Amino acid sequence: MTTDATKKQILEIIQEVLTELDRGDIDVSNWETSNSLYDYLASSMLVVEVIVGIEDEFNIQFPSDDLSKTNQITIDQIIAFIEQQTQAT
Amino acid sequence: MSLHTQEHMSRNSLRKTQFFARKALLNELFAKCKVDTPFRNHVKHIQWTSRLLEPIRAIEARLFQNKVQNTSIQKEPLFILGLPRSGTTFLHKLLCQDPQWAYLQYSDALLFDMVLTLDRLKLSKFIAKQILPEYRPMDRMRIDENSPEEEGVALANMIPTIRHSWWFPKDCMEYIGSYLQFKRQDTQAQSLWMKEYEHLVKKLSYKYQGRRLALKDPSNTAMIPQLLELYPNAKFIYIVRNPYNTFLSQCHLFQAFQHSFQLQTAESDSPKIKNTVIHYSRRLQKKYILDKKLIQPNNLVELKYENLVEKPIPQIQMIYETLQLDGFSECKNHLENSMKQDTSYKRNQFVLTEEDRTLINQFWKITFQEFSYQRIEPL
Repeated sequence: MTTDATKKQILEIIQEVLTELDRGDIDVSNWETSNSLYDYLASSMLVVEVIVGIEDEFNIQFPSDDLSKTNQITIDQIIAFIEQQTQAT
Repeated sequence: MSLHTQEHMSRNSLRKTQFFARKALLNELFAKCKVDTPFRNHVKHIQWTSRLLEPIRAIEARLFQNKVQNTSIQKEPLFILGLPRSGTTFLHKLLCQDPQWAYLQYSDALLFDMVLTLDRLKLSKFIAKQILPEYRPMDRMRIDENSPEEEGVALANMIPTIRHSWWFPKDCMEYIGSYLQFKRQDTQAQSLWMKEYEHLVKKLSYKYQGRRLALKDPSNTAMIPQLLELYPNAKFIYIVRNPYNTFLSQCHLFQAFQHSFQLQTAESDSPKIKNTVIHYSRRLQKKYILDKKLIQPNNLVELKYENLVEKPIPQIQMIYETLQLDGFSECKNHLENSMKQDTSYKRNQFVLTEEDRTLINQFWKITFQEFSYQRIEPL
């Protein structure tokens, strides 16, 4: 999967998770992937839900080192981690 | 008495704690969730008792509301966090041996809305004694009206909380979702939780004359930002336990509490309970890892349950030193005395299946990494 396709898929997942949590008012289509999840979501509860959604979709688990930085982690970094994991399998 | 009978009696006693729920809370819960036929008589009893107790609640509010509201918190509380069944109760009991700490006692938790009035009449301990089981159903740990208890027990009789997932097992994900994640429509629930929690802390502080509070409730692990907003200099202890033991013990707890509190007929089959435990614990672990950075480093201690069991006194000393708490030497004397008295407790033993192992390895990954627990690979 190319980086662009992964990016598109991640943004779709985030939008789905937010809609499920009745936060469909947050529009992810204009998100800059160099910004952190927390910049946009401003709530660790929402960040956790988004991370769980991404983990389930890609069948991966974020390691604790990455997760402890997740408040600052950018979508670009998430894409890189997923691509690294998918290549490893 | 057989273990089965003991467990059955404990569950029946715990069921009676529902009698102390506020009338408004019951109206809200029963408007949202359907009660199944086998439980309707019990619900009638809950509603009658709740109505009968309303005048005592009104008297309490009239006599004490202003006094409680005007209570200022001199020393911010200490919060014990961790996943359910990770040793939070054991740690809380040890700490509460030190008389500098005040804590929520079972009688306070059970009768929270009327406890000051009933204390004056010397009735609160008496009532609690009639209601409470001798042992907790999930681990056969001895309890009484003076035992330290979780704030969630008091809050569950005041406002909708995650504990109502045990009352309404068919709707359990809704309760876990709402009160763990605070969805958008629940910002009101979040404000209500903070208001009632602050009230709880003030009331305890008033009752125990300003002594510092040691509070523990595993669900508070998801509430670090809210607790810090209320108490910016609060102290926190996070206790963690071997993921395999924690998971199996949590499944047993969820099953035991569902049997104790359920007002809906629901299968308490193992896969469903396991899914619920995974759903809840996976989020709680991540939430903690994300939020712990908000706590000032000298206000947070992390420790392993296994180390606490092996060497309780050095671990408690480490807590006092890291959190810069006074009075360890006095605490040590009390700890030594209590440990001499309490040697009979036997921990539950559970069997770990291959399937459990795979699940835990997958969903507890961050705890294995963060706290260096040894993973057991499937055969």
